[in-house]
Amino acid sequence: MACNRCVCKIRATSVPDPRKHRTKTADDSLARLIDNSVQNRYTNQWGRSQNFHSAHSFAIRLSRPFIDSETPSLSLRLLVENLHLIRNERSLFQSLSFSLGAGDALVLAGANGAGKSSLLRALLGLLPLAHGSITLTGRDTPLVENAHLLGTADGLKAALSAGENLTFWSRVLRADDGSPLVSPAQALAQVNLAALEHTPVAYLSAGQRRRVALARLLMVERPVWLLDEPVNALDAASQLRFAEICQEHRRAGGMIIAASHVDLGLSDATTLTLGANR
Amino acid sequence: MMRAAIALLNRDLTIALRIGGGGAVGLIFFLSIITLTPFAIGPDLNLLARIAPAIIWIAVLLATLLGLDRLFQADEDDGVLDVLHTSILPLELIVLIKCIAHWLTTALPLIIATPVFALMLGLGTGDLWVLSLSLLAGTPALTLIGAIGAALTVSVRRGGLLMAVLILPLTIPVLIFGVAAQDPNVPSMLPILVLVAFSLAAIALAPIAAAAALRHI
Repeated sequence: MACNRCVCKIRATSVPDPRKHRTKTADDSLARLIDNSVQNRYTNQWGRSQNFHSAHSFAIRLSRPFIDSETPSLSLRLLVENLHLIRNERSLFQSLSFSLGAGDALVLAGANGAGKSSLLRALLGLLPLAHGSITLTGRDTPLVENAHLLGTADGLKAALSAGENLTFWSRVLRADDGSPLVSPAQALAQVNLAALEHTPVAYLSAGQRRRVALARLLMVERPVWLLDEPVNALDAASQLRFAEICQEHRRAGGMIIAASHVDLGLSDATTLTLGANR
Repeated sequence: MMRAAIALLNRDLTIALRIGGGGAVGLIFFLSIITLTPFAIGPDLNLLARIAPAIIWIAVLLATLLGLDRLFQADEDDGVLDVLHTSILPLELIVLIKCIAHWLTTALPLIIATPVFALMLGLGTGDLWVLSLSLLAGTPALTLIGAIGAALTVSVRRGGLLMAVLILPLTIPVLIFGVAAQDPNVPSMLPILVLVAFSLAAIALAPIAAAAALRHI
């Protein structure tokens, strides 16, 4: 049964009860969507009268930026407006809006199939948008050339060594006038894998591959990190190291959007729960 | 961009040489077809020499298709294709570079081996040059047309056969002019020039088509 009370066309599981629409308070519905434990302010675009369904549509802004004040990329801002994504003839979400500035982190939560990975792919233009716009301000090049993707697959060739994989990515991802932040060997050292530089990726464990994939993000300066289940297969120590790397990236003025089911250890992160309306 | 393009070409060549799959297996497959033909047709050397260009062209076509279905699928499986989307290279250029690498590791060994194998079919030495030249002119078109099929079937498990069905009809013109180069009634440079035209058109257009297919996985 489709909802007829607002612009959303997302199917409700039961017949919408008019009283429910009115009695449901903003806090009830939005608390499920935005983790209020951190000092976030949210603004509601549709006003109080339609709070139940305004849940699909909100803006997130961190009240205090998590970066060093003298960082040059302060004008960096990722603006996502009215995003509507259709996958396999099913509407994943619509009127999704958020805005991230330098140093912000957004954690995407939600059940399996809620559209977390699809949202990350859509941000890179890998999925067509049904509606909406994605803009990155503060950079001359489009978002896709300013974003690192750490997908569910590691993006490593099994026949090449860890060092060869990273050398390849360093050359292919870096802009023509850019210089690498660190060498492949240094990047591997940062994820505590310096000893495995010459080992073919085929012989690495799942967790080690994940760390090599993470090392890829350290070599080339790209402010937006899109992470899909980044700590999958990582042991406890590596998860801590991952959290440190992410905080360093944010302090340097980068932003992180991560889809995860587990706590990533990101301080001051905003949580966005997808698919709460289904 | 040049640096990134060379890195991608280098990587694809390294992987092809290290795994050994494409080139060597294609060559053995090619040899198998050439060897099987006399058994199927019989030891009539005149007949064999007359149909040798056709057999070699079909063998080259099939051997080229052999590894082509993995052209993008291998990168899709390990997540490399998604990250390549974020590289500084346009997707069209990525397609073209991967095709060059595939041609160098699969088609080029076949062309080099063709004079040796053609002798087994009783082809004269004068015809060998024309045959090699026509293969050199026509195989880039085969690889690039195949890349469109490979891009379309990238998300299909075991899509090799589907890819072959999709693109074999498109290779008919290349096959016609490739074999026509051996026709004594046709000046042999004419079909070769047409093959060069096919290859140039494929280099210009096929990457655009394949990239469009890859964008809508």
